[in-house]
Amino acid sequence: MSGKKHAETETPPAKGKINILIVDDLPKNLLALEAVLSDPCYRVVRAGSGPEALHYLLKEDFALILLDVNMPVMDGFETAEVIRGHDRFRHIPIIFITGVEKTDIQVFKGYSIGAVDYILQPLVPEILKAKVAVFAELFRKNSKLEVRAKKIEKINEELKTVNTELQETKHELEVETAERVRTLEELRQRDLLIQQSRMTAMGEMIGNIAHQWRQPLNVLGLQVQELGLSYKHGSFTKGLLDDNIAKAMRIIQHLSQTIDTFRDFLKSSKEKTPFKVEEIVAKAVSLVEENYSSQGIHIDVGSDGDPQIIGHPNEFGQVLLNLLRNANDALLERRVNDARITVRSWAENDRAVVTVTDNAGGITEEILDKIFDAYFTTKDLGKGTGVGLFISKNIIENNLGGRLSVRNVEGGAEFRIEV
Amino acid sequence: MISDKARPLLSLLIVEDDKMALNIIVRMVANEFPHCTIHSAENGIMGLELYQELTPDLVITDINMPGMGGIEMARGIRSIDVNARFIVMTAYNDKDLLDKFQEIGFCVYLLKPINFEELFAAIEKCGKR
Repeated sequence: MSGKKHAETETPPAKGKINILIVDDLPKNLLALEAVLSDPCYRVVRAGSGPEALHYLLKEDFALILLDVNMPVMDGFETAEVIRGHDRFRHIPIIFITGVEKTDIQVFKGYSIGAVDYILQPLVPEILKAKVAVFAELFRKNSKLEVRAKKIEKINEELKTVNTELQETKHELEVETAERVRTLEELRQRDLLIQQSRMTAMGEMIGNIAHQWRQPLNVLGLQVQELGLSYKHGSFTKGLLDDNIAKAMRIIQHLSQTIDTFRDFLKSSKEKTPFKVEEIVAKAVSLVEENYSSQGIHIDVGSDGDPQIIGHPNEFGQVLLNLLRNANDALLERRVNDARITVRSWAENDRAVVTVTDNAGGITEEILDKIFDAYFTTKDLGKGTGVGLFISKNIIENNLGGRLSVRNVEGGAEFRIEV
Repeated sequence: MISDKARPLLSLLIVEDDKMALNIIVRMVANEFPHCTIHSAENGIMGLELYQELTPDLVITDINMPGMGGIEMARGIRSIDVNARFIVMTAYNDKDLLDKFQEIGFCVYLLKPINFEELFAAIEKCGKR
């Protein structure tokens, strides 16, 4: 037990030193081995028996075991067998030291339990040193590899963590991208609808112009033809000529004014200006009333108190046209007899109020709060985009800071603009 | 042509809400067909009343008029006279209107702006008994 005591009192090895366990029942042999292995690179631990050797093995790691074969109680082979039975020690190289004559049986026995090498006594220091050096080097390299392996494992762990994080980020990005794509698609759809609604509005404008032009064009045509026919019949006079020219010029003037009115109405004004609500109402109504009246729809206009608004008059006019069209569509769809749209404007507590009321029977309660939503439409496919009222609300509430609301009144729906 | 035009006793009813157009049409038709009797009305109700009173041979009518339109008037006329003949003048090349008038029955359908040569030819064609 003196060896154990010695090992425990010895100062802990400096880092990088290689632990070598020497096992021999004879202290003189241990001393001899230690002497041969005295090297600053080695730390030699002495064990006087197999059980003592196992005791040290359990406490620390060794690069090499030098194991005497001939020991009492538990000989070298038995000790080696126990060592090999341990997972932790299985790979520690063992060099058997034997004083017994080398025999094939012993060598075979040595190898069969996994000895790496053996040395015969008497010891040749150079051989012992050289063999130990080989294993020490092997251990050192293995240790380095192990450290590297650990580092690699650690790096792998980190990579795994990073990878997981990246996967998460990727997933988040995918979700976000999908969302953006959806938003973009929605925006595109909305743009498309607004485009379509503009086209519809343009188409309606052209329809309105056509209605306003048909009758005057007919009269103009008749007047021109009258000149030729009168000449042919011999009833042509200078008076007729002057009269027809004057009438034709009046009609041409009227046609010209009509397209000017339409063009002015479609122009977008850049600057806000104060405008009379009554004037814009009159203009908007004048644009559509001929068209509507040909469809049997009468427009009533009334104004009181000369209300004024500051903003883009044409935007306001667009809203009026949208509301008129909406009323017109409802009246046509429901085939209302004595179809009527009433437009009233008045001043109320410094605010301008305009109501557009129809007698088409009103709006069902379920859709009353959805009517200003984008894309909401009750009209057949191709007849309405569902954007008109949405745009109107936008103009009144966002651009003019007012309110556009709807309610059912007796006989129909009433849209109310308050600015 | 001349012998046709000289043929007397054709009476026409022209219904058109645009006064200026009505006046010119009446004047020119009278010039072209001196032996015709021409009556005119400015709306459907007047036209229907005049038809009941005078039973003209041929009605030349606009479709779109305030109050009673051409289709309603023609329907009323048809209900009292299965032999009534119509020349329709309309600004709309509209299938719905055409279909509606077809149910009532018409002789010629003219699109505005009215070309007098076409109108005269239509009167020639539809005025033959």
